[in-house]
Formats: sequence, C-alpha cells, structure tokens
Amino acid sequence: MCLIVDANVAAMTFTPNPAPDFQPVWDALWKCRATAVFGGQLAQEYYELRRHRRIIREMERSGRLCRVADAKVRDATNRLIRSEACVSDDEHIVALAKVSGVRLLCSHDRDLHTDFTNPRLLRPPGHVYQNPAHAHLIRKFCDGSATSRRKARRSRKR
Amino acid sequence: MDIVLEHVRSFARRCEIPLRPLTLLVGENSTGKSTFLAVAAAVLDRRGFPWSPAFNSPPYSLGNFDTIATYKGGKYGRDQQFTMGIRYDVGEGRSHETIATYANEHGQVILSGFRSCDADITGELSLDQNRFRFEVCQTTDGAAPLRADFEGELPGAVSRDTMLGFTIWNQVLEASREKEFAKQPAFLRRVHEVLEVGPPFMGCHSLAPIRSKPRRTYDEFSEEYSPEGDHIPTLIARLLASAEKRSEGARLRDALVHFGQESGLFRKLDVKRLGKQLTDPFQIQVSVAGPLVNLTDVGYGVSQVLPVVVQSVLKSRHGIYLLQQPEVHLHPRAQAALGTFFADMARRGDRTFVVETHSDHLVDRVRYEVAQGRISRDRVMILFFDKPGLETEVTPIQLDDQGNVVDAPASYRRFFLEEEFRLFARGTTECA
Repeated sequence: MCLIVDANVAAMTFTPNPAPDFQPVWDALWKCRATAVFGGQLAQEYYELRRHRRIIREMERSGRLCRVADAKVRDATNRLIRSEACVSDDEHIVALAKVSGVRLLCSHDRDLHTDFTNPRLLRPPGHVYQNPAHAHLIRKFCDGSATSRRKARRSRKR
Repeated sequence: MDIVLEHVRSFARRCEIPLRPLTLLVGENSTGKSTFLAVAAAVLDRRGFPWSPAFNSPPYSLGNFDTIATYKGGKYGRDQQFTMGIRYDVGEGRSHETIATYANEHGQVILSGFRSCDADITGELSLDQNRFRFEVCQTTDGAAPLRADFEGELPGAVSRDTMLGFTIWNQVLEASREKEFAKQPAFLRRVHEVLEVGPPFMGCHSLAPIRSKPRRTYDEFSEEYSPEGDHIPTLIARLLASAEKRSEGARLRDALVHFGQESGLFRKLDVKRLGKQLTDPFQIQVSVAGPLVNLTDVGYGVSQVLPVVVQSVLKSRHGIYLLQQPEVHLHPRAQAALGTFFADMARRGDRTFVVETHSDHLVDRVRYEVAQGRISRDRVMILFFDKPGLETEVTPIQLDDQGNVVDAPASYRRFFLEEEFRLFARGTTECA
C-alpha cells in the first residue's frame, strides 16, 4: 500500500489511456510496483464512477487496489470532522491516510493538498503527486513496497 | 505443508509449493495446475510414495517417464531424473521431509533414491541397479552424532515398490546385529521410521473435473471411492436412510440442505426407494421450488456439485481434498456459495482443500469470508500458476484481513484487466 488516488483524478488514472499527468502512476500500478488504497467514502466515490467501475473492481481483484476497513476510515473521518482542523471537505482522504499509513496522494484539489501535507493532521506529513515532475515520489514511496518485498522473499527462500 | 517438485513437466526448476487449509489454484490452462495436483496426490499417497508413487491413478494420468520428466528441447533434451516430495509439520516444532528422485528404466519410472528427514534424524537411500546404500545420521544435543551406513544387494525378484522398503529394512536389521548400535533400540526405531517414511496421512481424496452423469434410477451399489463420484448416490442413499439425530446422515442432510439453499440449487434432497430393502433400486430426488423431482429432471449443476459437497462433509473422510474445478456447470450464485462452503470446511481444521478453479465468484467469496472474519487469512492461500515461457512459475499469494490480494505479481489477472480495457474502449474514438 503506497498511494491514494483521489476520486477527482481516479477517472483519468484508472483507464486504458491515462492522462499524461498520471501516466507514471498508472505505470506503477500496472506493473504492481504500487498499490493504491481506498475505503470508506472514497470506496463510495469510486463506486459512483460508473464507466470505470469494472476496471476498478478488476484492479482490486488483482491486488492493484487495496481496500481498507470502512468502519475504521469512517471513525477516523468523524474524529477529523469533529476537530474542524481540515481546510478541505475531504477529511475522509486524510482519515484514509491515517488508517492505512499511506503518505502519497494523487489529487488536483488544492485544499486537500494543504490538509495532506499538514503535519498537525498527518504525522509524518504526506506528499502530493500532481504531474510527472513528481515521479520521484512514486519511486520513493512505492518502489520499496511490493516488488522489493517479493524479491526479498525470493532471496530468503534461496 | 509444502509439496516439492523439480524437473516434472514444466516445473523445470525446484518448486516448494506451500499448502494451507484452503488453497486455491488459479491460472490459465496448461500452466501446470493439474500436474501439481497429480504430484500432490502421488506424494500424499503413503501406500505408494516414495517407493512407487501412483502417477496414473485416476483422475490423474501423468504417463511414463518421458511424459513426466521435463523436456528442455534441442541439445538439452529430456532431464534424466525428476524429483518430488513433501514437507510437513509433525508438531512440537518438528517437521518431516521426504524428497525422492526417480529415473528412467525402459520408459518406466523407477525410484533412484530418497532423502528423508524427521526432526533429528536424516536418512539417505540411493539405489543403483541391484545395489542399495542407506546412510543414517542422528544428531542429539551435546552428543556426537550417531551414524550408520548400510550397503547391500537386492534380490533380483524384488520390484521397486513398497516391498523394497521391507527388503532393505530386513537387511538393515541383519547388518545392525553386528554393529554396536544394535543395543540402542531407540535409534533403530528411528531408522525404521525414516525408512518407512513418516507418520501416515489422514487420507487424500481427489475429485475429477467432470463428475459422473446423474441417473434416473440407481440399481448398482458400490461405496468404493471413485474420483468421478460414482459412489456418491449409494452413499447418500445409505446415510440419509438413518433417522437418528446426530448421525452422519443427519449431518449430511443438514449440510446438503444448507448448501442447496445458499446456492439456490435445491431446497430439499431425498432418496426414494423402489422397494422395502436397502438393496432395492432407488432414485435421488430434489426440490427446487415445488415438489420433489428426479435428479435428472433438474439442472445438470446439481448432480455435478453433489460429489463435492457430500465427499467434503463426511466425518470419516477428513484429510486432504484435491478438487478440480468444483464449479463446473454452476451458476455464479452457486459458485460463490461453494466459496463459503470451502471456507467453512477449511476453518474446522481437520481437512485441507486444494481447489483448482477458474471461478472469480468462488475466489471473491473466499476473500469476502476472510474480510468478514469467518476464516483466518492464515488458513487461505492463492497459488498463481503462470507460464511466461516454457517453465511454470508458481507464486503464493496471500490475503490480508480485509481479503485484499497482497503482493501479487504483475501478471496476476493481467488478462482480465486488459479485457476490461477492451470493453471500456468500445465506442471511444481511440478504439474506432
């Protein structure tokens, strides 16, 4: 689990022809170098992407998307809403990051960027991917996950 | 438990494939799933393994040496030997392992040796023509290891089956009289254990991918196990005749009705006897929505799934179940119900299910059962069989507490995702 794809960019990422800005994200997901997490309200938002629903389901079946327990995300979201600490109305994304431990977000929402990188909301603070200039973030947060774990497991076996 | 195989068909390199109480084998056709099941059945058959494993016992047919040993092609030709074996825990942190190697003799498969480890003792048997050599070494904490080597000649008439084990054991016994450890019966007992190859398994039951056709009336009575499930109607007739509560028949009836309702296949199942004797012909009847009707008058899927369910719930049949495509002829609802059924059975702990499947609905339901906490993720594993070139690669894929697939390789379900892309792109300008 290494990144969150916000619903506002999910449709341009989870497609056969992703937007150029999100091509590196898609490449990482396609090659299973990255796993995106979703859950709680984000799962509902994904579900509402009617055209992409089957692709999203297949990504989840293949392990490219990873579901986090809705109840945990909902509880964390409610706590954030009560604290009124968020600038954006996307407390559920910050909550998802808190619950899953993921610190990389793909989003075009400026207010959410502020919240996601706010150390008072997320500790350690998150990072935001917006375009290929941020591809180093994918390498930093994702390349150390699935592939290297598989390699490590194989070498341990040997 | 691990199944070990090397140089077997497309398993060119050594593979140590783990099994969990519920192991789902997935992958495209001809990637080695059935070969793996055949090898698993062979090494789990204690009557035959390692002396003369049943490579062609129904429903499997691995053939002779030339169809089993890996063919590498060109100048590399066919491997001269192949290896298969098993490793399992025997409790108290101990494990047992038997890895056997087989060679070619006039096209037939013959044992050329095996290595057997049981906790502190290791035995290695090598066979060459009519001679054998058996080396044993026992290590105990703080003491020098006990070693013993036995060599001898085998009588020409002895075939390389289980009798060979007894023949070697007799020679070991005779030779040991002259050696100092003859006075150590504990060591000799351990040597015998190693030679006899481990404690017995509870049994291994294989079910074929196509089960026998239903019949309007059954008039032959045999409960002898058949991989196609020919024995199932007789078994159902006998067990359901018992009116006792808590009997195996009552348990079977409950399980059948429960599965039938969950799967939408039937609400009730009963046996209609065409006479007063237990040996009179009988019919199997099911009720889908209205009155009971003959098994042949309802969907084919009912008769195909009955052997899977009946065989799996029988109390006396605990052990390891190797099932090939239990979902054939079933509607997705029934396929999903099978997922719940297997999860429920595997949770109990006294049986292991190795299920070769092409059903997304079955796999999805198992993941759902894990997410619901009805079965621990530690009891479930997906084995992904892939054949990018000539060799099979097996990737064990685990589930997390939410039923998510963890650390799957990029090739896992790639076809399905590409298919969704093709469907997605229909009608878009890029596609046109």
